[in-house]
Parts: sequence; structure tokens; C-alpha cells
Amino acid sequence: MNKTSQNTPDKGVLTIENLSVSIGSRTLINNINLAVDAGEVLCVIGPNGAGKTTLLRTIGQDLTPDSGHISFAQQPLTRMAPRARARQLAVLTQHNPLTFAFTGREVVALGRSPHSTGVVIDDDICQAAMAALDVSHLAQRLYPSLSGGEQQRIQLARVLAQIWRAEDASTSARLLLLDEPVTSLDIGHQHQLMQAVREFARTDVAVVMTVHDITLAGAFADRIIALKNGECIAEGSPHEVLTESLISHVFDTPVSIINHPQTGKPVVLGATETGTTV
Amino acid sequence: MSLAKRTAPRFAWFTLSGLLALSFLVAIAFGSVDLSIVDVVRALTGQPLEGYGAAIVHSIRLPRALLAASVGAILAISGAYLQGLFRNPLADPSLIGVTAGASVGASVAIVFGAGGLGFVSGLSLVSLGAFGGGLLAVWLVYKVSSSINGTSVATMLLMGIAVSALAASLTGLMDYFADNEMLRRLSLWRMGGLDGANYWRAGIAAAVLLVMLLSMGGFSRALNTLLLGESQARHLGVDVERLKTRLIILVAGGVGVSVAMAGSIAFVGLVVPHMVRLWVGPDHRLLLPLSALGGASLLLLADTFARVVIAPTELPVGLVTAILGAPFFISLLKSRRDLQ
Repeated sequence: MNKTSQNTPDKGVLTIENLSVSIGSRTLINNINLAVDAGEVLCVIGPNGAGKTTLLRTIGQDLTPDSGHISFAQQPLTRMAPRARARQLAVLTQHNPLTFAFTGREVVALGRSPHSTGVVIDDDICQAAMAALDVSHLAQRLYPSLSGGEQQRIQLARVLAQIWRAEDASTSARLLLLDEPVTSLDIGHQHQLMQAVREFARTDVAVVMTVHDITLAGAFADRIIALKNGECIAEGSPHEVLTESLISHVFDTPVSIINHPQTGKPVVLGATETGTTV
Repeated sequence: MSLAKRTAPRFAWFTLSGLLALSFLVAIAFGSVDLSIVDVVRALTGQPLEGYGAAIVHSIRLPRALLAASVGAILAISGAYLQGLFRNPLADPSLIGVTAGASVGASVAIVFGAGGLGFVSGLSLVSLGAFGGGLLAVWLVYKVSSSINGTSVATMLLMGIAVSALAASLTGLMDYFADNEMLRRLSLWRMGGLDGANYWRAGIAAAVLLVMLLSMGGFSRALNTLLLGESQARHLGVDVERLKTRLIILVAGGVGVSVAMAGSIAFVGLVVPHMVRLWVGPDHRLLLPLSALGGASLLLLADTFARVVIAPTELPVGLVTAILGAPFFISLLKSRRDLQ
């Protein structure tokens, strides 16, 4: 079942039509169509170099598309003023090089810089965002001294704080773009972070994230799209996309997929290392 | 420990303001003729003094102290701006070649234009030349050494060496082609550090300082987000390209004027913001104004030291700051290497 077809106009946050991006003569993304609703978590999966990050960077206006349209709350995204856009669209990039000795709290507070909501409200929001990601104890620690996982969670708290309240967004639509947010985290914090993102989405935020771990995508996504060589191969619910034939094709490697004994969500297992080829 | 140990902002404001006031009085009181602090205050408030005290204060030491304070503050703010722009705490106008570029610009202006003009318009032309040279140098270094992940220290410093070498050869070329009169003017300018101070020079430096002080408010939040990275700052609603252009122009203007008025003074832009950052953290809303206070105090004290240590002759103040700054820079480099 494809949710796009049920899109009601007031729920639609992000609509992408015929998007193509190339750098030089290399086509990175070819003719992608996509619609994401408020409250929905969309995971983008695909092998390295499939165009996942390119897709996110294009939505986040870091790259200029060759053709196609991106609209945000029924407006062309390119026409939004930078400050107004920052109040409703937050992006967590894959690399966050920060060598200056801000405290954890100060980094999170930078997420409030597009707003002029005042110190009191900003403080409350930063505290809430840090609590949601279990980083309240890092508030007074210096960012460069934190571990990679701790830094990642602080950065996520920063982007959550950026679009924490619906009333700060001028069109009340909010979109969160996350590029590989869980890569450097241990399994406990991976699940905790995904859970926090899910709960954040429940406050009517649309979330688009790239995830390396297909099982994790299957467990937390409402919808998954699979990219290969810049093209969208499949789109649908986790059970629709995470099938053995499709995933084997997308990643060029045989896989087995079983259902999780407790949640019933699909679990993807690599099949080559066991020696039993499918 | 990794827990942030910060000084309360109010304490830092108070201490650095006090230090600036004290350095200012000390700079006026000490020299080849020592005056008492009471006499200095009396002279400054316009009360009559016995002997030459009032004349020394008003026509020699006051303009010089004003020039030193303005140039010190300008250099410290320029350093803080550059470090924010390069997202690198080791950027300094003199290390990355901005000062050298400005010197070439000033030399060109002296050789080709300033002769026929009067004192003030000549000075303005030299400032403009220094501004142009500085602008070219920052732009060049920035273009080559910055990438999406910030700037590599190595590339930045190497570019500084390259730009300084180019500047030195251009200066040499100008010396070679200059006639006697031009050479005399060039060497006079090169010798003139703060000892060429007068109210005109102090006034021009103070005017540029005022522009930089006024610019701080609008830049500090944007600079804070820029430290996260360029695309991160863009995602936070900052017009990054415009911010970078303005920073480059301001730094070139600040360094250019300081070079034109007081010659090349190294390391103030490196040492002061670094100390302030250790004290109150990297937030530019505090870092910029406190660096201005610290830079003004440092250059006043360095200049007083330069005048007093072998009085009645004096050392060039750039020598004093370099003697203080170079070991500081080496220890910074070493501590960074140990971290990696």
C-alpha cells in the first residue's frame, strides 16, 4: 500500500517531483518522486553511492537539482527565506566537525538561533530536547571531549530543538532530515535515538532519514524507499520493501529475511557469510 | 577535566575593563620621563601641571596610547573574526599572510601615490592600499585552504608562508625600482611603528575600530553557528556567503588600517582571542567584545614595555608582541599535536 496516494493536501509536508541531480556528467539522482506527510517517518535505504545522502542534501538545499521540484507545505522550497526555512526544516548532516570548546548545552542552544523566542522558552526547549536524547548529563561537558556517540546525540538534540515547537514554524509544517544519525552509536543508543525520533514525529513532524541498518529501518519506519544508482527501486511499508528478492537485488548480495519474534518486524540477515547461498 | 570551567561573564567584563583602564594610565605615565598617576589623571582632566607634564601627556603619550589601544583592539577582533571564518583557532592575520599582503598594498600606495598628496589624504591612500592588499591576501588564503570540513591548519599556514613570500618578493621588487625619494619614504614608513602616533592616525584607527565594534552585534550569533560548519550554519538560516564576504572585508579593513597606521604587529590576533576563549568559552557574543578589551590592554602594555625597557630609545612594539606571541603559538601547536 502506498501512502502517497492517500495524501491529503493539509498533511503533506514535503513533495518531490521528478527530481534529478548530477555533478559533472555523473547522474547522482534520477527522476525521484516522493511525498512525505506530517507525523510520518520515511527511511531511505540503499547501498553506498546509491544517492541517499545526495537526496537529503538536495532537499536541504545544499545541492541544486538539475530538474524537478521540491515543495514544502505547498510552496517551492527554494523561494523560502533562509531564516523562515530554518524555523521549520532542520538537518542533521553526516559529519559535524566542531573543534571549538562549546559545552553540550551551548551546542544544543545553537539550534534555537533562527528563533527569537527568548531565553526562557529556549532554555526549556533545550532541556526537553536533551532529556529526549538522554544527554542531559552532558550539558556542562565540553563538546570536543565527548565520545563520537555522545557528540552525535548532542547534535541530534540540537536539530530537534531547532524545530521543537509547531508554533515557531510559520506554515506549521515541520520537516526533519537526518543523514545516517545512528551510525556511530551502540545498539542501545541506536534504538533509543530511533525511538526519540519516532516520538518527535508524533508531534506532527515529517522525518526523512537515511539508515544503513536495514533492520533498524524496518523496525522504526512508517515507509521505506530503496535507492539504487540514483533511482527509486521500491517504495512502501517495511514489509513491502524488505523482501528477500528486492533487498538481494538492491544490495547485490543474497539475504534472508525473518520476522522478529516479538515485534513481527522484518529482520534482514546477510546470507553469504554462513556459506548457505540462497 | 572535560567539565567546562568558565569564568563568570560579569567577572571577565569587570577584570578586562579594569585592565584596560589601568594599562591606559600606565602607558601614559611611563616613558623616558615618568609621571605620577595623579599627574596623569590631572593632565587628562585638563588641570594644569608643573613643567612639561601636560605637554608630554597631550602631544606625545595620549595620541600614542589611543593609537595603541585602537590598533590592539582592531587586531584582536580581526583575529577572532578570522578564527571564526576559518573555524580554526590558529588563524591569525600575521600568520596567514594578511599582514604581509597589507604591507605590500601600503608600499605600493607609498611608492606610487602618496608622495604628491598632503598628510591626511596620503595616510588615507596608504590605508586604502593596505586594505586592498589585505583583502587580496585573505581571499586567496581562504579560497585555497578552506574545504567543506573546515580548514586544515597545515594548508592554512602553508598558504600563509606562500603569501608572505610573494609579498616579500613584491616588496623587494618595489625597493629595487624605487628611486631615492621613494626609498626614503618607504623606509620611514617601515620604521614607523606606534612612535609615529598623532591624533590623525589615532582618529583613523578609532574610526575603523568603531565600525568593527558596531559590526560585532550582528555577527556574533551567525559566527557561533558557523563554527558548526558551513552547511550547518546554512541550515540554521544564516546567509553564509554574505557573512563570509563581510568578514573578509572587515578583517582586511582592520588589518589594513592597523598596518598603515602602526606597521605590522604580529600575534595579538592569535594570543588575545585564545586567552579569552579559555576563559569564557567560544561564544562570540562574549569573545568579540572581551577580545577587543584584551587586545587594547595587551598592545598598550607591550608598547609601554617597548618604550621603557631600553629608555630613552625604544624597541619596535611588533618585536615585543612577537617575542611574547611566538612561544605561545609554538606551545599551541604542540598541544594540538599531542591531542591528535
